[in-house]
Amino acid sequence: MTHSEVKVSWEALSEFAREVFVRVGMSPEDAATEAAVLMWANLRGVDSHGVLRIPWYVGNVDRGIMNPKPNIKVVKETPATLVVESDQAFGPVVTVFAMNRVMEKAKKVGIGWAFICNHTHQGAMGYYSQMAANNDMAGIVFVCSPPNMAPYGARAAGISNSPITIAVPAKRHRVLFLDMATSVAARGKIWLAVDKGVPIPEGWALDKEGNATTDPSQAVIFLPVSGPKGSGLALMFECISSVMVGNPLLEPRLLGKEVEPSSRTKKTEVKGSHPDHVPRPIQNSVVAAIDIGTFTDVDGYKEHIDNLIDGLKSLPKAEGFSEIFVPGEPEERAFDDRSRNGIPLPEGTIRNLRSIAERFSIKLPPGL
Amino acid sequence: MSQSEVRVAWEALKEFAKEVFVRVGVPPKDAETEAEVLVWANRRGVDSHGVLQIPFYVQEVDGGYMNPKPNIQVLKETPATLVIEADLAFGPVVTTFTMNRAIEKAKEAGIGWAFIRNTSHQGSMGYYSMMAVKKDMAGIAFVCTPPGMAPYGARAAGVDNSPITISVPAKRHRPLILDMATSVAAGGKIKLAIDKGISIPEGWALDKEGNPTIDPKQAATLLPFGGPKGSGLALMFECLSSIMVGNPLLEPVLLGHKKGEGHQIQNSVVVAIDISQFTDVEGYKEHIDNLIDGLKALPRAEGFNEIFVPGEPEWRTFDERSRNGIPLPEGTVRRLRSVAEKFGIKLPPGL
Repeated sequence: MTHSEVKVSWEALSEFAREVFVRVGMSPEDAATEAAVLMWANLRGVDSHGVLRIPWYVGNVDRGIMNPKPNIKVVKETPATLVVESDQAFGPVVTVFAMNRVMEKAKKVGIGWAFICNHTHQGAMGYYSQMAANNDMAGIVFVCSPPNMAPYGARAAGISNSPITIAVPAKRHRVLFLDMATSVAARGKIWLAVDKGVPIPEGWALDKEGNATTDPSQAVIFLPVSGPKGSGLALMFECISSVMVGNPLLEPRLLGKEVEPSSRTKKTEVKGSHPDHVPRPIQNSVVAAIDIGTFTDVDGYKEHIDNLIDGLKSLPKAEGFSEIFVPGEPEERAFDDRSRNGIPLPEGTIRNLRSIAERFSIKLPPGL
Repeated sequence: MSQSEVRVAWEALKEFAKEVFVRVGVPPKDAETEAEVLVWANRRGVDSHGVLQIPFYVQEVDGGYMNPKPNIQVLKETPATLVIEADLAFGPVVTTFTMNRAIEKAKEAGIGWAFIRNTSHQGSMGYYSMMAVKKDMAGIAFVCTPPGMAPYGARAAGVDNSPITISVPAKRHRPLILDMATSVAAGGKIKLAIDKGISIPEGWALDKEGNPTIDPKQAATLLPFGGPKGSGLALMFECLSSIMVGNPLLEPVLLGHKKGEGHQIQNSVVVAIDISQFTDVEGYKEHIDNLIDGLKALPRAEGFNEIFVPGEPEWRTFDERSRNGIPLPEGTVRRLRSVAEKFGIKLPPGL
């Protein structure tokens, strides 16, 4: 947080984002979904997945990589499963659609499991697993993208740092939600180091030659968390999502059948959002919901989660910890603060949003 | 591998294990299943989940914590899901039963997702995900047990190092089998360090006072891999399995209603996903082959002479031990001898 940082109310920021997405051709309803997912991230302090993405998204629409008017199709369906072709939809648009459909399935048969192909960046994944939790279900989502992480034992990218999110509802407590990348450090932490001008710890990343680096601006290949564990999980996510729907994302790059697109990483409109580190936007994912009421008493379930959270938080603390957090808890605190006090935006983000506002002649939120 | 180690043919070892389980009251078919899962682990080099468990299982049966003649029931069922009450069955008995049912469901509904409650120790989880692979499906299984691992930020056990396995079939290559604990190091590696008389790296475990330890004998609480990541996954597995079937395993210990130590009561989720419902099976397997080839051809990091895909080192051991027999350390041999004496069973040749 720098001194030049400005706080903006989330409502105004959301309205601004929605307006931008309408201008690039999205329907008002889809634009609202996209804006809601970005805002969800900013409110929870996950700024790397918030409005700083807007210029990049606009650029991706310009380049035909993100489709503002996709023809989203359910290409296969069983009582418990779905395969959804996204037609390069904005991630949130197709993922919200898919999560709503799997929740319907889960209500009928206990579980709904959807494969989504060919979507673009989904934003903060926790949004989707929470949709299920808010409907008294457990939500699970994981994602695959082209290679950006070195598998265990390699010094080049071969897998992606595919994140997974799992969320379940509580009663007195907030939703318990895990949202983690399979790399040691998520991309956002590397960006933050660039912004702060500080080095990253050893073991986070390799440079493009495959050498270990502590310079965040040279960090282009992620390293997997816990060696073979993060590496193995990421690989298996590709096998049970992308390959399962005949749309592999790792193999074409590994076998050299697809060259890395490099031209778009130089675009000026993404200045400030660390273009070299932006994930390649075509992704596949799995979206699942499990209906708690089919298997056990919902209220009882939520009370057990409450008790579990209480029990964990009252364990003796390790040295250097003043509190034990359960998954999602730090983000919920940021949510409370930012909902009340506004979302702090760094100078770089504001500059980029201003140029978007100028381009589309949209009024900026008050304060910007 | 020490000099005093003995090699035993896996077939003879399996026969021996089966006979022991029959003697403790397990029906022959179930005894065969249990023996198969144990010896599969030994063949893959996962000795911590192999026949060294036999004396422990015998003791658990004596104590009434493992039920040789369980009344396994399907409590709930939808076209895609199942809830199974295991009645303290031997883990492999109820888990193979359940995976077979999940596979049937997957054939109809694309996915079969089953919850198992109140099972005893399941052995090597990869066995069950591999059952799905043999039917051209993807297999997933994870397990929950009472606390044995410190959640991120704590110095006492509050979650468990719940393992997860995911397997998929290939064509030219062996199936990919991921089978990993959510702790930095699996419990078996700590036992191995004790046997070898060496210390464990820092960051693996805490002693019973919650202090970091490098003495494997003092290691009482495991530490999660990747801090909040392993810790978070383990916690969410409990929420997705145990609590989903109204049988929490962490909460009673955390709230002091139940002691943490002791017997292996587990809940588990077992899943099969039918590849053919979503894509061409042959094409699927070829993609997995290509993916494996591509990964293995990547430039290697310093200190690595080969890049392994999940399950690959274990497949090599599997081939070697299937041919040359399973090496058993002295301690294991001694304990198996006393089991053999107890029941008057002939030991496998060589022991």
